[in-house]
Amino acid sequence: MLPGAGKEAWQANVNGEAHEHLVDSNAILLDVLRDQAGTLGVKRGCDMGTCGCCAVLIDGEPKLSCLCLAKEAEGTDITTGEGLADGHHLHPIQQCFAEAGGSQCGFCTPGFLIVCSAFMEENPEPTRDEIKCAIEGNLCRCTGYQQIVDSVRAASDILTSGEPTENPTSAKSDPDPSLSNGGD
Amino acid sequence: MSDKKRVEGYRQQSGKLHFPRPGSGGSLGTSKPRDEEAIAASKATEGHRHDELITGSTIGKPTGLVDSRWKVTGQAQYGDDIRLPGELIGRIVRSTRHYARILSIDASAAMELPGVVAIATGEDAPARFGVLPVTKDEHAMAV
Repeated sequence: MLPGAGKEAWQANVNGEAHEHLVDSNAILLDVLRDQAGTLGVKRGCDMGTCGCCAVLIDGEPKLSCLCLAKEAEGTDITTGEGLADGHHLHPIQQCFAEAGGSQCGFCTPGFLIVCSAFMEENPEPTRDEIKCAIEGNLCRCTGYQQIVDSVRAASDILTSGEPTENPTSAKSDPDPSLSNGGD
Repeated sequence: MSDKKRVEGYRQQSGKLHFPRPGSGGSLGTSKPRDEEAIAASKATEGHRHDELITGSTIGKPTGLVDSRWKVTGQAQYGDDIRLPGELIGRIVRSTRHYARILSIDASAAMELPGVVAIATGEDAPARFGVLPVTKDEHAMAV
């Protein structure tokens, strides 16, 4: 950080709560969210816009907070991974990530959740290829992309039909269908 | 189960060991079967059936991680998320020249900066060369 940056008041709605902090005028939004707003669910992965772990929703648009000045997000509605759930009820995409193994170590999960939730707002019934295109800006070093795509598919089923599919994983992702269909 | 079927020792020939039918509750007589109806159904069929279909237990079914709720709500704590009172922040200063030989390091100017508590160079390391048993040919830090 350059020396001599002046402090300025910064305010925004973070996860529905009005936040006002005294931040450096050249502060990065990621630093403000993690160090001052206290939303540690925004992860610092690469700090240069490669991994997508730091994605947040700014007025409903997914943005990388490590490449965004705090000034740019002044007065906006910011949603992080903590703010996706409605009280104790998880967002369908969170539910499906938890049940279908979409998060393994979980470090990249907040970024994936933000990007996928915004993606499903504009495309409620995506195909697998469309999901892969949507999450190409996020890296998962556990390489659990298969389960992530399954989770998004299952979440879109919940969002469109209102009912969860019976088994979010095995029917679609099992490499040998005869194993899962062997019963009566 | 009669005692004649039980084979003692673990170096048996294949095919000689008696395995109980899946879902029957194991080889111990004291353990109870879990699902009576499913066991009856399994006895009616021949050959291998998956345990999930026979016992109705969790074997063979996908299960979420125990901490998956923490992870999908951003509550999981990683190393960078742990904040302690009075913690110091370390920073690594690297050479500005490639393939240069470091003759000496003068850290006195950096020590005078406000907020700097300590500076460590390779001279502070007790073993300057061969730090770990697996990295016997590496320096700990620049000397």
